Amino acid sequence: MSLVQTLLTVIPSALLAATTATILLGRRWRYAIIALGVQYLIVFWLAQQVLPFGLAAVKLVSGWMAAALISTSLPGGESLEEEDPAPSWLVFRAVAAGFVLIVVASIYPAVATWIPVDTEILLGGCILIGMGLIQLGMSTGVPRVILGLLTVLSGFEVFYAALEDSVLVAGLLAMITTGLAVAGSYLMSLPVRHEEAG
Amino acid sequence: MSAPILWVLLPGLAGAALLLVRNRHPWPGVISGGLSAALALAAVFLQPGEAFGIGPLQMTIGTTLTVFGRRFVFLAGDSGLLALIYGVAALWFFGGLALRAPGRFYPLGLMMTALLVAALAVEPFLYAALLVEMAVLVSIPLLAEPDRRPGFGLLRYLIFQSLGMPFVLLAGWMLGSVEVIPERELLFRQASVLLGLGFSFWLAVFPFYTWVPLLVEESRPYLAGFAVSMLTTVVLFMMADFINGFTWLRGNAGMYQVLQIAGAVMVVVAGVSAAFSRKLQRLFGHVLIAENGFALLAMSLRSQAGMEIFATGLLPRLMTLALFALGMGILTNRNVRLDLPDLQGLARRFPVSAGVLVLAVFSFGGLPLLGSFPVRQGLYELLAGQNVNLVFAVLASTAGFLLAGFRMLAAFIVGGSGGEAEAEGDLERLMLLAGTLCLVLIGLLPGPMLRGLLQVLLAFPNLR
Repeated sequence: MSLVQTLLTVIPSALLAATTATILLGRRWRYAIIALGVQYLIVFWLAQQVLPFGLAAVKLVSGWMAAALISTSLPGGESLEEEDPAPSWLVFRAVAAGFVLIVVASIYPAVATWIPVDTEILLGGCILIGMGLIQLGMSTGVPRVILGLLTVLSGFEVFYAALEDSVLVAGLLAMITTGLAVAGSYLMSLPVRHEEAG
Repeated sequence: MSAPILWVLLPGLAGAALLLVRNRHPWPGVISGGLSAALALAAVFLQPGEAFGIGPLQMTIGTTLTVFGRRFVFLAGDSGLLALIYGVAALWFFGGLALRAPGRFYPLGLMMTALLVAALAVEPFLYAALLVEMAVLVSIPLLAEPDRRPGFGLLRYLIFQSLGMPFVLLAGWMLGSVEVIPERELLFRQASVLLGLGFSFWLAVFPFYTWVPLLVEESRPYLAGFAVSMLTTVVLFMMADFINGFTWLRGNAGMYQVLQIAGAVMVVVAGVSAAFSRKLQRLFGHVLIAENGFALLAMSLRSQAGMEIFATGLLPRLMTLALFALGMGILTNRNVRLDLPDLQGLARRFPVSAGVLVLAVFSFGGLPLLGSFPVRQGLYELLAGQNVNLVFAVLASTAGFLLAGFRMLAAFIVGGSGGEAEAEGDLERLMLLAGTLCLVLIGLLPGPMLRGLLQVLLAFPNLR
């Protein structure tokens, strides 16, 4: 593999690791939304290698729409959390993210026997799915759950773009991405739960 | 006019239009219920692809609608499925009318039903996963209470249902590649694993079941009952369609064993949890889980008799769930907390609701002369021929539901203030009594009451 090819494989994966880590570890929602936007740009970059430009652009547009929709409903303050987390929160999440990245790096060749796609796409998809799952597993708040689901689904979309180039699938997946953001925005707009009497 | 336009586009668009008038009680409920009932009747009398006459006019409802090169197809054999789904939806909508369910229930419920029906019609079948996910997204505003932040149950529901989609899509892609890849055995194994995971997420198979009781507890029980029972029933149909469509899957004995174990574990876990449930909503959640377990057990029998039990079990299943949810809905509407200690003396205050709730749990537990009994008896008989130990485990777990029923009965008739009956509304009482009569009639006359449901199996010709 030439140096250029290696770089083309490593750079998108490294960027995805950075964006997903920003979403997982960052406490300011503005950074998370920016990271989500960049994430969809890289998803577009990976998808356009296997899909026609127009279909790949659908993923970018729907992803950015999702990011915009979520940002309109996020809380007025700066933080994604309802309460200030303990300092160990960041350390714990960082260690977990590190573990996930190590696991992804070690298992992606095995995944290739199930899903035969290019290394670049495989690695990118695995990072998104792994980091999205850890986000889902460690979060209870609506914004983080929606961000986690969008991350997992965008990882799946990267895989699936290489396997299926149907217009209907691309359209339906775009609708699901925006639908998820709409559902998330709706849930985030609901008032804080008041404990039931008694 | 094609069948997908009639049974998918029309209710979907009607649902979207009803969003605009959702608060004008009772019209959204009347229109949703009426349209669903009309679509169910249309499915009984108008077979897709077959000619029918209105006076001198001869017409045919087309079978296919093509969208971006993919097809939505309903054949004559799908009529039973359509009639059942829309008939049950009508029942829930009319129940909602009696209950004065929130206005959002009718449009979103109708759209959800249309999307789930579309999932059964789409070809290639792998696209169904995308439509199921869209139905899940539509159900989110239905299940979220507008006056409070969503809890863990709703979020877990969204997570688990969304995670099911990629697995089923990937499995569908693998099955489509079988023709061009030489290593078929490996591919079949991989596709089976992915399918199994996808359906496990969708059907709340152990250990992915925790969201069900939580969701019912957090949302309005009636709305949660509608969403979860419709969703899981259609997913069970999709599963049957998968098995029907792939010869290798039908011939795979291991797959049936996995189904059997998964079904038994669901019934056992739900039965044990039900015995200790102090909240009616949680008990309802466990009933939902166990109902899916029983459906899997029936499908796992790998015989025509097993599929007949699956099909005939659908009506008692859906009736029991609807009655249980309606009973709880009536109580929550009157600010009655659904914890057993708070329900003491309920039989004096709400005699019909209390009776129906107990009856629904007993029916689900398989008490003789009630709706589920004939189906359960047939299932146990066939299952005993394959695995006696499993029958004992399932029977013991069913006792958990009977125990829960006796605890409810004790709480309802003992203690309490002994005040005057607050009573249900006339329409509520009518719905409760009609449903109860139906459950008892199914128990007494299972043959005539359930035979029509065998039409559902026409959609799965290879499983009959």
